[in-house]
Amino acid sequence: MIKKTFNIIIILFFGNFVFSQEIHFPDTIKIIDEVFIYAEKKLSETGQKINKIDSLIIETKLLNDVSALLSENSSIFIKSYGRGSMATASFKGTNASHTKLTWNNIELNSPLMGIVDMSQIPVAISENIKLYYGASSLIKNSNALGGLIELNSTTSWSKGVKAKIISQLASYSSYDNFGEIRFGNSKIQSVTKFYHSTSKNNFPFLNNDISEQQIEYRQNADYLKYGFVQEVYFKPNIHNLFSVKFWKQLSDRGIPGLTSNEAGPNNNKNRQNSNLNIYSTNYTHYGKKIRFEINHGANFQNSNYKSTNYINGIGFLNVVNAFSKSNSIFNSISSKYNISDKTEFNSQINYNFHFVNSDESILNQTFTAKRQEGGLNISVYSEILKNLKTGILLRQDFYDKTLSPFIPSLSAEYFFENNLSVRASVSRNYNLPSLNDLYLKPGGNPNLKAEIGNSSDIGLSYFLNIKNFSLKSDFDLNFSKINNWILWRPTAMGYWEPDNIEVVIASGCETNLIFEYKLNKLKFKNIANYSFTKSVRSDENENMNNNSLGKQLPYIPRHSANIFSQISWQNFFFSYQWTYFSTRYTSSAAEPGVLVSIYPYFMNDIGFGKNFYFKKIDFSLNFKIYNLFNEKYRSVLWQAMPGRNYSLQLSIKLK
Amino acid sequence: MASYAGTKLQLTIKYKTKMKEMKIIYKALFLFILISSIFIFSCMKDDFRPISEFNTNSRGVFIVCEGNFMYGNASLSYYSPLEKKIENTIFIRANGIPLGDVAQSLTIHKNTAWIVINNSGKVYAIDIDNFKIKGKITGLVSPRYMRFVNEQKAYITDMYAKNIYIVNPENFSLIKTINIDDASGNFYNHSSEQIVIYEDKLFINTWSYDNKILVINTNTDELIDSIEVFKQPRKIIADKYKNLWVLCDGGGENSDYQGDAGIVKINMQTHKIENSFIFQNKENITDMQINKTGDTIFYVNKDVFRFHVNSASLPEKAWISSGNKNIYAIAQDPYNYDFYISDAVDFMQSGMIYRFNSNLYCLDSFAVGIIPNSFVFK
Repeated sequence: MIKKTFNIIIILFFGNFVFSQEIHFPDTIKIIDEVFIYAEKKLSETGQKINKIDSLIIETKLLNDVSALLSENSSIFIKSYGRGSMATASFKGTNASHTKLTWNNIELNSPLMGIVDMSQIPVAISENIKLYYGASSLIKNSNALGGLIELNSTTSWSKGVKAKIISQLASYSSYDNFGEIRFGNSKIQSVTKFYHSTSKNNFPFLNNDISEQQIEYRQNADYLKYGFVQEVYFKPNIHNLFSVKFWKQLSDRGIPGLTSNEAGPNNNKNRQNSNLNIYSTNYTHYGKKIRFEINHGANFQNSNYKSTNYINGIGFLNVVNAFSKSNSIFNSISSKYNISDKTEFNSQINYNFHFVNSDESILNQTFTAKRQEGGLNISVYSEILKNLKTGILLRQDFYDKTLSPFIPSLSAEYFFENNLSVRASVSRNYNLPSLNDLYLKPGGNPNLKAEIGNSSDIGLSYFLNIKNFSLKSDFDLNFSKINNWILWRPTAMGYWEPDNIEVVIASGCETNLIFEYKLNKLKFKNIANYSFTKSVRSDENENMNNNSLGKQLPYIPRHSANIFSQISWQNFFFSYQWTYFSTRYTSSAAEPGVLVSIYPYFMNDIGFGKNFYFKKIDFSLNFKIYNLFNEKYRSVLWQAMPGRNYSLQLSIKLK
Repeated sequence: MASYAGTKLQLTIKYKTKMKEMKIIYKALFLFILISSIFIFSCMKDDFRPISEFNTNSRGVFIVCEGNFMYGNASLSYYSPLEKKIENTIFIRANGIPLGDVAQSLTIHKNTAWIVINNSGKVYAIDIDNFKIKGKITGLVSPRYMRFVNEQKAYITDMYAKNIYIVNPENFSLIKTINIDDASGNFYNHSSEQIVIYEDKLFINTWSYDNKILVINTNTDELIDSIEVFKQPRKIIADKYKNLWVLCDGGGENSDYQGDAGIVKINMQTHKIENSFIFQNKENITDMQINKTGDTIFYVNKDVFRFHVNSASLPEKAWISSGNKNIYAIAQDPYNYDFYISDAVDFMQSGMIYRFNSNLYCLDSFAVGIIPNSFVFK
């Protein structure tokens, strides 16, 4: 008893603010209410840190965007410009371009910008969200220096028709709607999803950044986003699976100015609209010893950004009118061969093509660029001794006519008898400059070199599974050294330019915990995350006035944590969400002060509701309160944030 | 009997095992709630901006620190050369509110300093001794520089308004605008930057994607002439012989709008170009100033150069070498010939100021805000 108690205390303190790692469920196993089922970790995931976002979280946040979900339920840091505004993600002290996001094997990162605006990605478009930290992204053939966020759609192969509608009314004239229809049988399935989100987002706030110190209403922060997804799955027999998925989205939003802006309502009006079209096709063959997969898809994105002023004597005039277009085609063939039940061999070959066009019509600055890339990776994973699994991955890519840096990765994991495992990995990875980094006019730097990262991880995992109680805990130490880190900085010419910094070292630790308990009709679930991140520039600079050496990079917090708790009793449920970020600095020398740093952020949200179950239909009502204590806070410098606000959600499921 | 004892023993063991499990669970739950509650109920501390009282009646230098675009971190510093004392972020410390986004320039008129905040669309007027706000002019598009004609009339230039504002500084109101649109549709012409006043004329450079010096009659407030110079005329000054000197940066290396960089000399009476000099290298061309007696020009082209206004050519050697610094702004103290240089470092952290005497001996150095772009002497 002492030993078990001690183990739990160690895990809780050791894991401190814990972290989330979903238990893996193979597709073919159904979850029974009172029983927790654990699947063995896949051989190809040996030594890797991979988290799956809990399905309860996804269900709770279906109407949110991916940035909100990750910010509150993972150790990934989300830099958000506010409600409905741009949001980017970074893993373990890296930056947004080091984070890759895929939807059904199609990369969503723009080849032009290199990043993804997570606020434009709805949670509702996928059922399955997996996070691959650092080197673990290599098994998905991704050169994500920080990590990979994988959004995947799945189907359940149940017969008949199922439908779901979720409608939400929220503060500031916000309306969100989602609908889903699934029908089919054991051989063919169709899934159609549609969504629509809009908000005036004109929340009141006390503006104490101007001399009048008055209550104002947020201007030009409205947003509209709508789209649909169509998926078709065909399974002629148990050995073959075909799928085709298509996603279209249109969005339009205002980009509000800073709270210190007093140019007037007719000036500095910035707006952005985007059009996204993505398709993904897949064929998978499941043989006795071999699994073979072919993927093909494309991502067509275009967007327009405008900045408009009222000009005396002329009227409204654009001062910036920038169009950007990117077309990407993705192709890959992969195979997995089970040499034995303890050894598997994987290989993948891929080829992608990107075309971009950027045109700013006021300054007549335009460029067009293309890039082709591809590569081969092979890996072997094996249980070489009892409870000891190892893996080796080798990858060689090319881009245009150049060979990319060679990528090796080694990993190992040992499983103890008492549900404890220890894992380790070392790897190398790289990230190409985006086409904007290279060719933007003005500012692009065609001499930029690829960023190259060498990283290592050590981790511990533990799970405890008693009849009505389960606990799963992870702890991870990580270290990365990234050479030729690309950093955009202002110049004397008035525009920004990217350059390679010699070395950045990102290191830290992460812990997460899932904790579930059932007592009669009371169910209790906690998912918590904590991370400590030190991400600093470590190259000497010749200018003795440059104090950036050894300082935390801008906007990366040292500490971040979040907790999601849900209690349910009979058909009632109550949830609590807490999120924390430590101080973030905005200057390159991590200087303190109200002009160059953002104070720590704590946010509390609650929700409560009830489920209603009937023979053919289920209802759910969910009322949420965001920013429970009505706190004034900042996510980025000088952007207003809303006070306490509310939402009421109704879900209807047809069975 | 044995069977009954055995069953009873099994039940007892099961019961004890169950109780052990329950205790473990309750302990874990208790610890989790205890640890979590320490942090869950923490409150955020919003920006704390204590007010400072200043009283600087002696001579001093305002240093305008632009900050980064869309970061809202512009600031103002004040240096007392006699005491060798620097006060940073004086605006927010004196008034409790931030200066805004991109402080472009500062002009002193009598006892008031007028600070133009480019990306906040306004101009603040502050007391030059205690730095308290006296008033402001708002509703501007992208203001750049301000120049006084008299107590009731001042001009404010603008990058995107295609107009120059005429304001009444006494009541902080807009009187009218002067249209300077070239109607060509090319780029966003014209922007307007600095102002030099000569007799009843304004000379204004058009920096952004442009190559003109505009001439405006201050009696009629109309555009009367434009003079073509090298691309992107960035700074203008007037010498003691009533010539206008124009520093042109030639456009950025990766820009489609590029050309020669150099210096042009214009006769302000005739509007004719009297001389022009092309730079062999263009690298960080950021500032140009003139000395107190109006006969020696200093300019930055990575290093600092100086030449007499009657020189036939530009100097070959630097007067002050930048070394590894990013020299951004320069100025000479009109009272004692001390020379000030700003190092913008990497444009994303505190800048550094160096103060030299006339023998280039470094008298002082101190840190200020981000991107110190100009010095204004009180």
